[in-house]
Amino acid sequence: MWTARTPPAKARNVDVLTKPGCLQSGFFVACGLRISRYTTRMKQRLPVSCAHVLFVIAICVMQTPSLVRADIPGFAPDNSAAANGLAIAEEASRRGAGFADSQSTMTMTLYDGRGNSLVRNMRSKTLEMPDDGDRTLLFFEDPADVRGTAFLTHSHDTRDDDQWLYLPALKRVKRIASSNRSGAFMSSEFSYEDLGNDEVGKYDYRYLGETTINAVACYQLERIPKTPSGYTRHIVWLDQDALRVQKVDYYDRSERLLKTLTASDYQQYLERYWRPAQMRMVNLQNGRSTELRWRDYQFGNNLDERDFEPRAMRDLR
Amino acid sequence: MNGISNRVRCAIFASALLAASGGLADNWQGEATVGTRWFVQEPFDPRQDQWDGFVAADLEYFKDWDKRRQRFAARLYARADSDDPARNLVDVSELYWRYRWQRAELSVGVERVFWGVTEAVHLADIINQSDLSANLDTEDKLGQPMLRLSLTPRWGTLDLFVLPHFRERRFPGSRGRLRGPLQVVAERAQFESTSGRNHIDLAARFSHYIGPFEFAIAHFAGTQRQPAFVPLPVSQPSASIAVAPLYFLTDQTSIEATYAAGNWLWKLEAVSSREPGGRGSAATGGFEYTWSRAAGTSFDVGIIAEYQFDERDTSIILGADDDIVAGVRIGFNDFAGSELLALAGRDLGGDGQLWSLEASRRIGQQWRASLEARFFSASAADDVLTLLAREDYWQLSLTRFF
Repeated sequence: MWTARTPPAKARNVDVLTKPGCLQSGFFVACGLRISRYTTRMKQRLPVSCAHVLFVIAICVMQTPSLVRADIPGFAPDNSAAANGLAIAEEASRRGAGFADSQSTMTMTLYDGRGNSLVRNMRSKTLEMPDDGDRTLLFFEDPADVRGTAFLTHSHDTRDDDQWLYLPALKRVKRIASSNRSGAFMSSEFSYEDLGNDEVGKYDYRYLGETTINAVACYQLERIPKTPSGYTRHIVWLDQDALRVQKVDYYDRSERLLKTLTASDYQQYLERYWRPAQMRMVNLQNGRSTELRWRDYQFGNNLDERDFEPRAMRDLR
Repeated sequence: MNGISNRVRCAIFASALLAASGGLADNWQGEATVGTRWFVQEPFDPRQDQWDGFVAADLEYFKDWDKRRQRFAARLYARADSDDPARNLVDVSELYWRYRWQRAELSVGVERVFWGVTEAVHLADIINQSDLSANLDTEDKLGQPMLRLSLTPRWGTLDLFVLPHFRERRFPGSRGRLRGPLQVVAERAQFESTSGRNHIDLAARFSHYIGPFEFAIAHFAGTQRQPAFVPLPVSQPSASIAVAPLYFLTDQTSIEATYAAGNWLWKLEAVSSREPGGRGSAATGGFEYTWSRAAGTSFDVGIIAEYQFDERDTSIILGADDDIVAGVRIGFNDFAGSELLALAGRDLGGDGQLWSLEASRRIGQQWRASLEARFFSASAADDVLTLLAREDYWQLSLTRFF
């Protein structure tokens, strides 16, 4: 079952982990797998007075950029675009750090652009590592022929991730070549790397300015992967309110816009961590798209490294 | 006729399985398969047929309790064949209780354990016996009774095994195919150990990974899973050569390693085992190179190449003495989860060749159709593939998952 195991000998102390200096963990875990209620809030307000809200936002954007920026250490108008981009990424990472572990249920719907769709379900567990990238374990529940298959990622800040696949028919845990990152995740429009943990050190950054996406005031950044990737660059929009990923454009190796990701229905957990309830990836080159929906997010499950060892995949049911 | 009653039994079994079309309760999981094999050439032996059909079922149950410290798991596998009674099987592939501590676990019962990293041959894999009547690829296994203690400190995993009962290898029977002219008479099995099947085997394995590098070292002391063969006296003229399996005792030490670098995955397995004529060794190694979204498509394409040599005497039946195997694996990333694996093998010392194709795709949410084809060719009389030269086959099967 997917419930927590016996408490580890050394209980995780969230407070210790949230102290500045202990924060090496993922920049928007699973690319906005951490994100917010901001849009929901917006939707609720819109019927009341759309114009009013937009006006308020416009005022905020015009009047408070220096205040917002003051929240981001290392960000200054005179700094280079690279330094400001990194400052925003680091701050987003800092705000997302300290959650220790989480688990959730995920439903993935594939659309082929010709009216056909396919639904599949999986469960995911994430462990935050104090001095390394996060660890993620995915367990596939259906379609029935892949049930029991599991996928484990140990992500790293600066080098290739370690990845394993578990094949239940042979009881075999199989190492996967790290380049698999750019491969399609379960035939979807998400690559493994889109779902991986975006550690700050994996990219070079460039701050591109402030823009508004879907009536949300955002910082716009460019991210350039430093490790092997299927992309040359990403353009990322983070809302100014809580630095949650709102949108990502992915450019392929020939510099053409390949995919667009939008994250929405952000929920806040433990009064601190934002996670989107929905993400949609649209492939602009083949017309296909994939929607991910999360539910039953649980934090503080006392998961530990043992739950994220390759051998642990054999015990999942 | 035994054959007809077998076919009837098969049909009843199949319809019962497929009739149970509803889902199973949470702790249960199962699958049922119907399939048929067509052999391209006429058989060696008039008792054999060119077609056969089979049904198989796999049912699994598990229960965790005591904050997941304890688990009970059971798995039953059954297969019935239309032609060959030796392919009929009811096997307890799992039946164990396990207790877990913080950094150790103990389990008692029947389990399946896989050792190894390569694709074409599995040299290090020795805990569970293979069922060659199901498939020549040694990936169909029989449940092995064991007492297992696993220690998992931070610096690796140490597994210790006590294996109290020996499972004999299963081979196709006199009426079954994929045996060439060789007919293994399992009832006449001989053992080097005076305690026969009850010799207590011991095994230990240490494994660990450091970033992209992963390795294991293991030792096994007990009855070799792969038998040698002793010709049996001929009582009446037959197209087949009757042999009895002879299981020697062995001490086998093995190493396994993988190294992941970019698109490359490097693999190595090597074993050294004590044999009646002294120590012998075998090794296999190679790589898998993967292109994700190859050439602008959504396909994942992997190239596999492995070399293997085996100087052990008992290896003769596999013919894996000095071979190279290369092939391609394609994941189509379509809604049907279509997959294809095509491999070609060549004996560098002779002219033996082996071609293999495995392909499958999902049908709806609950079904999967699979195609398997293997072709063998050899002309040299001393090449072991000569035995299989008339056993080319196509197999089509349909599996329902519950």
